[in-house]
Amino acid sequence: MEREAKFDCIIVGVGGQGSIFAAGVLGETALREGYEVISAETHGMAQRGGTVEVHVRIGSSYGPLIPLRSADALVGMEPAECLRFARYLSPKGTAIVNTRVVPAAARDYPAVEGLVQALTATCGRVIAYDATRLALEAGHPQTLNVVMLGTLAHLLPLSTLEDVIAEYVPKKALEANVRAFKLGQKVVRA
Amino acid sequence: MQQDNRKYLLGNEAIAYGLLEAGVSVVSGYPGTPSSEIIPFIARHVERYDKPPHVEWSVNEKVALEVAAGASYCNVRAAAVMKHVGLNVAADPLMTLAYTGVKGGLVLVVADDPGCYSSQNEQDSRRYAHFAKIPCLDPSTPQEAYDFTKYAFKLSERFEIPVMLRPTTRVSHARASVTLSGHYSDQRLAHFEKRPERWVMVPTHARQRHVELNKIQPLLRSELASLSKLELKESELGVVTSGVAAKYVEEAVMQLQLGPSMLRIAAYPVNDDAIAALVNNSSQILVVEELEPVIEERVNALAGTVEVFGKLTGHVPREGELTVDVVLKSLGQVIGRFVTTDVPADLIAVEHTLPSRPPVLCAGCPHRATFYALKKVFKQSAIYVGDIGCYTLGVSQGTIDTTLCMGASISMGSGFDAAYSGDKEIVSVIGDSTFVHTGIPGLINAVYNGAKMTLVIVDNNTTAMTGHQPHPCTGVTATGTCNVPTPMEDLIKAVGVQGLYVVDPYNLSETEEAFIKAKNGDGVQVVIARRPCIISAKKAGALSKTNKRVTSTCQNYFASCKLCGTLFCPSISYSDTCALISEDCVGCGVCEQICEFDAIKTA
Repeated sequence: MEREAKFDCIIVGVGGQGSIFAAGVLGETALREGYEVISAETHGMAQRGGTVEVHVRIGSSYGPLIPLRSADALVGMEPAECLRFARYLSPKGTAIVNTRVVPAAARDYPAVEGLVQALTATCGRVIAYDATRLALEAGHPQTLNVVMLGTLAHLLPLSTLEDVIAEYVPKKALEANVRAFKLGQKVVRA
Repeated sequence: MQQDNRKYLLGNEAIAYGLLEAGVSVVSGYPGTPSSEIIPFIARHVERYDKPPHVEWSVNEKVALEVAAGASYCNVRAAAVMKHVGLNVAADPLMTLAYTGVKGGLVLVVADDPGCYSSQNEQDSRRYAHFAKIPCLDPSTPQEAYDFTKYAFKLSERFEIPVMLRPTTRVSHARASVTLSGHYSDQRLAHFEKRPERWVMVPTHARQRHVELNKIQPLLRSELASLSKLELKESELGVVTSGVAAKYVEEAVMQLQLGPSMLRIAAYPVNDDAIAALVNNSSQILVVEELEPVIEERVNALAGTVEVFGKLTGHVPREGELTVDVVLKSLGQVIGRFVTTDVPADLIAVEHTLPSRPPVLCAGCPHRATFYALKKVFKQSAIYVGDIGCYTLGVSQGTIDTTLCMGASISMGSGFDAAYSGDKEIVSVIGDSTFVHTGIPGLINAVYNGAKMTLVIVDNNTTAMTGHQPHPCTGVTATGTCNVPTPMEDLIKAVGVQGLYVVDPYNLSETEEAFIKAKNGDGVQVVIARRPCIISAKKAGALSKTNKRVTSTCQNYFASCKLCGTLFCPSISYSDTCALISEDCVGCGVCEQICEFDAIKTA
């Protein structure tokens, strides 16, 4: 029962923001809905604080890395990280970007408005919002990744993502995550 | 296809399933990215078994391979797991294990790291397989990694030879749908047959075993021929590829709408007949493989007048990992079509403005405090001989001047000392796990040969960088059993060092005092800077009890001081006027101890 649709998605963020978990539930959902799926996790030497980049290819029998300028969606948990990987996004693709900055010690941080503008110039659609605020509203900052999956959901060829997330998050965090997913969904419905 | 047996697995988890389903009895290894997940995965699953396989973190890769070899001689199935540079350590047993051969299947899992994502080099383990004359399987996906693992045992037993399974980062750390058989073979009972001519490699026996090893080479080649896939098309162009690069080639060929003949190599020694058939059918051949031109050299040998393009002609990069975009460019060069994916210039300009996030020691990492004290006492002029671990990041604090390989800090320190005839301050820095791995012989050597140096063991009670694996000094095994911890101090004293100090690096004055004593002491002086890794401490909940709030009252006129900036702590940043402490501060209090203006307070 292999499914036909193809969807290439890149999820990026700073270590500790939950990019790998988000990519994991996305892949697991795709697998359960009958798709071939492959993904690649790239994280540097540092345990935390570095860039984390995950490619997820739904309905693909190719390698795990998405070629330049071809991803259907880019989910950036942090604005500078989102821009760092914008080169992978298709000119028709959608960027979903959290506007909340995670400071980097090394250098001055460019203005977020400028980053969002640059993103807009390279792809089909940009959905930029303060997802960290929504995560806090949902009840826990750690639900940031689920907020962003909620926003991504409307683009996906998948119908059971919310159920799989509910299965994988810790029991005591279930309610906050359910709220987070719905708040993320509302960003595009409103 | 049974839906139940499809799982979304990391390549390394797929390999672990393959080992378990094959009825492996003994699995040993040493942590190293990208191979580290295999052993913990097996350790987590052993409780399901009535008679679980023995799984261990060995002290190093040589030991791991020897443990597996011993088990295999007893006719049970065994596996040794390591990263590519680990195989350098295990090369000694490997080269002769190929001569004795094995009895129970022995699979040597070696993960290569094209692009050096977390390694000190990008050596190609296929060269080792060739060197040792053992077969090597080269999977391109997690599914193949699983299938090849099980096949490797059969191959190993059929030819009584160790078999290398060689995934790369993009196989080991890819996550994909994998279909498992769900069938678990039983472990065998151990039975060692005493056959000195087979197992005792004295010269007379070794000469004979060398003949046997050479004799099976053509048989291996023909056995492995079925793993290569040849698709001949009516095309001038033929492409030979292997591993994950084969997947990139498939995608690039589709994008360019090309229809070349394709040969996919999945095992070594390579299938000469398939290469010859491709040569006969093509006028140009492009070889696309990661790392070394192993296949390309063989294609060149068989190509006759057919043009061969690849790494040796500059059409495929010889360094770094390949991607679809790299392969598109290589194909474009060969077919004379300009192929490039344009990243808009505006976007590239923005990319240059983005702040980098280089790896840093965590907020509260005890190594940071050790390095601060070390620099203060030994100054810029000392030579800091480093090793492999998180503490390699001490390079930013100016307390790591070299990093070569596991355990080299102490032995190279002896070399620095000898070169300067004892007239230079030499400080070797090594982690606890690395010390046990290959540091101990270097320490014995330094004491025995009269070196003058200070050895700092940055002991965070774990193998932190690869994901917190235990080691002998922790007393905890891979499966979580508590055994007698190797007593680090007793061991060091027994070697005969002239001074040994144990300090808590969070206590800077105590640590500096020990360094001063070591500096003024004779011979080899050892300082153990001991405090658990901050990540372990957080996980253990140890932090919530001691966590202090740190506040900065740093004022305008301190702005040019930035002494706390020399700690390179990710929790400290600067506004135009003062030092700021961010929320991720864990309250280690080291910055408070060094602030000359009393402007940082923990409470």
